[in-house]
Amino acid sequence: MQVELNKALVNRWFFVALTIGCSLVCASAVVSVSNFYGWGFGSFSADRYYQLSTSGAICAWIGISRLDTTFLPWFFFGVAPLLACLPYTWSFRSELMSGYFAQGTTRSTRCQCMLAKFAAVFLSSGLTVAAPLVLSYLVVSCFIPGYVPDPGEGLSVPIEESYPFSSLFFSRPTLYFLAITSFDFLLCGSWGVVVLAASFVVKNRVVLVAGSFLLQYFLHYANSTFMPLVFGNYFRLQYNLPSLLWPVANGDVPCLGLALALIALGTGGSLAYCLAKIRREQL
Amino acid sequence: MTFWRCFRFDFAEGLRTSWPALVAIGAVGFANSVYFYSLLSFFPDGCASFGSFLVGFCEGVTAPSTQDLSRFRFPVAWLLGIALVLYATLRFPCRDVAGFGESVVVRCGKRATWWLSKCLWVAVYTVGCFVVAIVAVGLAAAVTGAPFALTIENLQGFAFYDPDVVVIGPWEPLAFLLTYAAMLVGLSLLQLTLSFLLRPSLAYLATLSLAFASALASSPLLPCEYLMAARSSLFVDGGVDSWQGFAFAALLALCSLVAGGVVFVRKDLVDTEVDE
Repeated sequence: MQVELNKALVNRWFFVALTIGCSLVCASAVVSVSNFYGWGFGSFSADRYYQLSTSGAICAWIGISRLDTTFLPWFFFGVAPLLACLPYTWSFRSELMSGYFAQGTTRSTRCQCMLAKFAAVFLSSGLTVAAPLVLSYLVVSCFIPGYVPDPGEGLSVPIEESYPFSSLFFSRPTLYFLAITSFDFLLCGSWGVVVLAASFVVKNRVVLVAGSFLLQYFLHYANSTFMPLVFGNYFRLQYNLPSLLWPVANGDVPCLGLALALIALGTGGSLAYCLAKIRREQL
Repeated sequence: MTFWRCFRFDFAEGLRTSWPALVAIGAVGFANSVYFYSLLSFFPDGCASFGSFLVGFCEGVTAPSTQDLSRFRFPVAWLLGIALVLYATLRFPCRDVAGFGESVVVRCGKRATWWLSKCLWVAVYTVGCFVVAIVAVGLAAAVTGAPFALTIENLQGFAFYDPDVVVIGPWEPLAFLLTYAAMLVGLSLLQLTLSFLLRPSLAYLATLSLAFASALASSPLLPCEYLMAARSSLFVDGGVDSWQGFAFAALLALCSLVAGGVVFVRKDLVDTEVDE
C-alpha cells in the first residue's frame, strides 16, 4: 500500500494535474479578491457589516464563484474529469504490460496488490480536484471576510434551498465548503476507480484517459438534450461529472442521495469487478 | 519508400485503428440534428433546410456576459463534436512511431517524409470526420423532409437567435462551413505537434483547453471562435469574419507543420513506448 501511495502521489502526472488545477483556482481567487476590493466591498470596515453577506469568502470560493467574472471556474470544473484521470488511473494497464504488476504479485497476493492500487487511484483522483478546492478557499479566506450568507438577500444569493447542503451554506459556511469538497473528492475518486476497472478492457492509456473524458461529455450531452425531451424539464437527470462537481453553474439540482448512491455503486462495483478480474487475469 | 506509399500505408492503418471515432461522430451528428428538429417544433414559423441542420451541428454559443455568467449554458454538443474529431486523430500518429512503425520511419529514408505523411493523414482524416458528420446530418435532414439546400431562410430554433443581433437573411453558410473544416485541420495539426512535444494526453488537454477558452471568452485570437456559428459575422452583428478565420487556420496549420517537423526530426525515437 505504501509503495502504491508513494507511486501515485509522488508522480509527475499527479504533479502536472495538480499544478494545472492549482493554477486555475489561484487565478480565479486573484480575480475574486480583486473584484471584492474593486467593487468597493473592501472599502467598508469588515466588522461593521455594511456589505452584502453574499460577498464573503464562501461566495468567492471557486465552488460558488459569485465574485469571479471570468471563465476560470467553468474551465476548472470542465476539465476536472480529465484532470482526475490523468495522475494514476492508467497505471494498472501500464504495469500489466511492462510486467511490473506481475513482479509485485510475487511479494504479496494478487488481491492485496489490486486493493493497494485501487486505494491509490481513488486517493490520487480525488485529491487532484479536492486539493485545488481547498487551496482556493484558503486563498480567498486570507483576503475576504468570512461572512455567513443571508438567505434574505434575494437575487444575490447564489444557491437555493433545494441545493445539496444548502442549510450548511446559510449557517456554517466552512462546513458547507468541507461537505462540497468531500463530495467532489468522492465523486472524482469514484470516477478514477471506474476508469481503473475499465483498464482491464481498454488497453491503450491515451484511449483510457481521453475516452473517459469524452464519455462524461457524452453523458452531459445526453443529459442536457435528450433527457429533458424524454422526461420534461422538471426531471433533468444531470448525473455526469461536470454537472455534479459544480451544480451551481448548471442550475440543475442533483438529488444528493442518488448521487451518493452512484458514488457507492461506482466504487463498489469497480472494486468487485477488479478483484474478480485480477484472479483470472493472465499476468 | 516514397511519400505516397507511406501515406497509403498510414491511410489504411489509421482507418483500421480509428474508425470507431468516425462512427461516434456520425452518431453525434445524427442525434444533434434530431434534437435540433425537435426544437423547431416549438416555433410555428420555424422551417429548416439542410444548411440549418449543418449550422445547428456547429452552433456554439454567444460569448457570455461577465455581468451575468449565471445564465450561461455551456455548449456541450458543440464541444463534443470538436473533442471527438481531435480524439480521432490523437492516437494513431504517436502509436505508429513505435514497434513496426519505427521500421517504417527508417524505410521512409527521411524523417520529413514520415512527418509530412502523418500531417497529410491527420488533415485527410479530419476532413473525413467532417464529411461523416455532414452525411449524418444530411441523413437526419432527409428523414425529417428538410429541403436539400444550404441557404438558411429562418434562424428560429437556434439558441443564438436574437432579432436585435442577427444580420438580415437569407444566410449562406458555405464560407463558415469551409472555415470550420479548415480550423479543425489546423487544430488537429497543432495537437499532432504538441503530442510529440509533450504527450498525447497533455496535447489533448491543451487543444481542448482552447475550445473551452473559446466557448467561455471571446477573442479573434482564439481559434475555436471561428468554429461557432453563434459568433460568425455571417449570422450575427459584430461576429468574426469567416475568411479571416480561414487564413488563421491556414497559418495555424503551417506553423504546426513546420514546428512539428523540427521537433520530430530531432526527437529520439529509440525505445519509444508502444502504448503511449
